[in-house]
Amino acid sequence: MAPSYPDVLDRIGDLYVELVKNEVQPKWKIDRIAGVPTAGLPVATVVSQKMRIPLVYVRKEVKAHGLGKSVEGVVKANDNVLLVDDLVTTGHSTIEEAGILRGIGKVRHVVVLVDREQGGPENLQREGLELHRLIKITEVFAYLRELGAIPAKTYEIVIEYVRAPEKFPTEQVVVASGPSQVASPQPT
Amino acid sequence: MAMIFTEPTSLEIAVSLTLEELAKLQVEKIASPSVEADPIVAVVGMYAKLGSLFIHQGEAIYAYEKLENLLSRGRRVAIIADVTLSGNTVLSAARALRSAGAEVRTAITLVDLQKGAGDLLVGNGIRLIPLVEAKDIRLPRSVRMA
Repeated sequence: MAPSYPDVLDRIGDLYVELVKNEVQPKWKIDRIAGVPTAGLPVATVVSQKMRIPLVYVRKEVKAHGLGKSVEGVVKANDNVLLVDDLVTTGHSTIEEAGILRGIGKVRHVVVLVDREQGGPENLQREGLELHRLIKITEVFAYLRELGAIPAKTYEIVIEYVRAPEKFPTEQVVVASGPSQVASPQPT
Repeated sequence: MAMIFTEPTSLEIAVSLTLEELAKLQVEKIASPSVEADPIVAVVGMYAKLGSLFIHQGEAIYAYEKLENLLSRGRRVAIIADVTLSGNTVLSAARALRSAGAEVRTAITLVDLQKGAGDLLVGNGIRLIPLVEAKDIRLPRSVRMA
């Protein structure tokens, strides 16, 4: 959503940079910023540009007239690769993406804008990945309620969904077919 | 061509050249026609303060809002591509944008390999502005392969 609003993208980019500088760089030298096509790529590019750290990403499909490789960008086997994505839900798609990136460099930290609080940090930790998040989904909705932007009922449904997503009809949930797909209900 | 966009310095050069061309146009949004162009479109959009749209295989992605809604707040769109050959990728993005109400008259490409994109796009009402053309990047005769 953010790329449609350039000021928002700019501001979010600054917030990612601040988080990375405070939480990751003091303990880990970052050689490459990895983006996740498709949804995570614009913001990862902005972070790469702002930090002046080269970008790398793995393409899901290779065009017939392309160079026949799926990794875009230059990366060496011992490079520390910071995974930058837009959000984490259960963490499964992030773990899958980290697995792909671990074939090209070292991956230990993941930075996201939103943690949808469905076990992401815990699941990532089991795979040796530390999650750094700018905001939790319950904080987003608490703020929206405080602003009066959403009715109390909507807030309750969202909080209930975060606590027990299995209680909601499965057709509401878009099963992730790729690392960047999101599950409903969508924050609008 | 995508590698140019993964190095901050070369991306910056491509972005500034694109911004120069964009400044001459009257557009309200920019659009990427493929994943390879997404990085430059995101950064150009941020600096030009223009909303960015991302159209892959004829469909808008990254957007929580309908393309029609995004276009209702500015419908003049320039497409920004990394490389053009036949022009088909740009044309399919233009068609998707137009069917959602956009006015698409210009496409900027980092490199046009002169395989027909200019003619195809002009035939469809789109002027192609290449930052570099294939004829500009010929090696000198002494190092060309026989």
